Amino acid sequence: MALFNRKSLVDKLDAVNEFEREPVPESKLKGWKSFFGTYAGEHTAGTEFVIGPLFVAHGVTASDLVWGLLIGNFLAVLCWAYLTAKISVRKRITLYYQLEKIGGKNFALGYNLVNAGLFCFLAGSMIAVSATAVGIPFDLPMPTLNDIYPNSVGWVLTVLVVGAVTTVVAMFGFDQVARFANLAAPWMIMIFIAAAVAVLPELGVTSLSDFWPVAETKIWTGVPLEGQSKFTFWHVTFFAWFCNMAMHIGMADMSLLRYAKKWQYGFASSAGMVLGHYIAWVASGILYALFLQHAANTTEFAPGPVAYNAAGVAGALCVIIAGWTTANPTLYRAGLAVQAINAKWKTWKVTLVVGLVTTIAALFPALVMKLLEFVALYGLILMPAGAVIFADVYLLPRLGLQDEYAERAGLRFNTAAAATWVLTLLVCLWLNLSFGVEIFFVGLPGWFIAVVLYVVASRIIQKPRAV
Amino acid sequence: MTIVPAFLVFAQVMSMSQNKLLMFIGTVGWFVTAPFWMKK
Repeated sequence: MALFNRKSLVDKLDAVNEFEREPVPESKLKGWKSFFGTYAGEHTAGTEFVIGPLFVAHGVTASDLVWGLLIGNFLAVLCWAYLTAKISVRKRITLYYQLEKIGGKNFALGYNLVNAGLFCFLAGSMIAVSATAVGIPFDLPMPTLNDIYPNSVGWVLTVLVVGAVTTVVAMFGFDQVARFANLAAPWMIMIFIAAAVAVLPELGVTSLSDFWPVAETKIWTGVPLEGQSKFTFWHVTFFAWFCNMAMHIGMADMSLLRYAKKWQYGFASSAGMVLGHYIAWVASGILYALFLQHAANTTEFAPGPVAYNAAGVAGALCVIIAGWTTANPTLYRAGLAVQAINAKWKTWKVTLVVGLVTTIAALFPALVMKLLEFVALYGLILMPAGAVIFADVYLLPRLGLQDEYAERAGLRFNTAAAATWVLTLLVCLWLNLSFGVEIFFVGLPGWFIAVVLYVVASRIIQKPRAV
Repeated sequence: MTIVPAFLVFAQVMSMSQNKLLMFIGTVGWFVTAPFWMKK
C-alpha cells in the first residue's frame, strides 16, 4: 500500500523532530513572507464556520462585533509580537524543550498529555463540522444549538465515517494533507468572501449604504436565539483576544516563531487575524443570518447546510475541507504528544487510538455548540505554562533567582512550575464559581496570577546558587 | 471564477444559481491548477 510507506513515515517523524532539542541555526531562519502565509492559512479554518454564526446566535450587536473584533484581534497581535515572538527569537527552541528546561521532563510530559487531550476535542469538533456537510446528500437530521447528545443513527454513522477517514489519513498521509491544506487556504477565504457577498441582496443589501442598517436589524440584531446567553462587546473583544491564548501568551507558537529572523515578524499574525478572525467570522455570520431568515429562526446549527444554502456545492465542499484540514493535523499532533510518553510506541498506533477517542467525542454535538466556551477553556488550561516561561525569562534573573531551574538543578519535576499551573487554574475556577466571572474573562487575571505564583514558588523552592 | 461572480450577483447582473455553478467550476479549476503554480 503506497500510503503505508515505512521510509516516508520515518522521514516524516525526522522532519517533525527538526531542531527539537537545539536552537534553530541562523541558516534556517525564515523571512516574513512565510509567517504571513502560515498565519493566514492556520487561522482560516473549520472553526471559523462555527464561531461567526455563534456570535449571531449569542445576540451580538453589529457595532459590538465590529469594534470588539478590531480591538480583540489587535491585542492578540500585540501579544504575539511583544511576548511570544520576543521570547522565541531570544531562545529559538520549541515550547516543549523550553518547558523541559524550566519544569523538568515530567512537567513537560504532563503538559503534552493535557495538550493531547484538548487537541482530541478540538479535532472532534471539526469532524462534526465536516459531518454536517457530508450528511447533506443523505438528508441527515442536523443537530440543533441546544443538542448535547447525538440526535439520530444517521448522525452517528456519518461522524463515524468522517472520523475513520480522518484518522486513517492522519496515520499515513499527514504530509499530503499538509500540502493540500496549503493549497486550500486561499480558496477557502475566497469562498467565505464570495458566499457572503453573494447573499447580501437576499438580506436586503443592494448598495454599500444598505449594509449597516441591515447588519444591525437582520444579522447581528443584539437578540440571542432561544436558550443562548447574551454576548456583549466585552465577550467579543476577550474572545478575539484570547481564543488563541494557548498560542500567544501560552507560548505554543514559540515552535513556529523561533524560525523568525526578527521578533517583529510576530506582527505577521495580523494576516490570520484580519482574514480568519475578522473577515471569515463576519462572512460566516452573514451566511448564518440568511439561513435563519430562510428557516424561520430555527435552532438547527449546522455549518454544512448553512454554506450549501449560500454557495451551493462549493460551499459544502469548503466546510468539508475546512473541517478536515483542521482536524487532520490536530489529530496528528495529539498523536505525537501522546507518543511522548513512550518513544517506542508506533506513531500510527498511537494516532489510531487518539483518532478513536476523537471520533467518539465528535458524536456529541455539544462540542460544536459550545465551541466558544471550549476554545476559551483550551487557552485557559494551557496559558499558565506561557506565564511560567515569561516569568522565567524576564523576571527570575532580575530577582536574583535561577532561570531554567530544572535543567540547572537536574530536576525531572519542578514543583514551582507545577504548583503554578494547578493553583492558577484553581484560582480561575474559584473566580468563575464564586464571583461568576465567565470563562472568557478569567484568562487575563489568570495570567498575572500565574506570573506572581511562579515567582513566589520559585523563591520558596530554589536552593541558593553554588558560588 | 470563485469570487468575481459573487460581486456580479451583488450588482444584480447574475443569478444566484449561475453564481453557485461558477463557484463550483472555479473550485474544480483551483484544485486542478493550484499545485502547478502555487509555491510549496
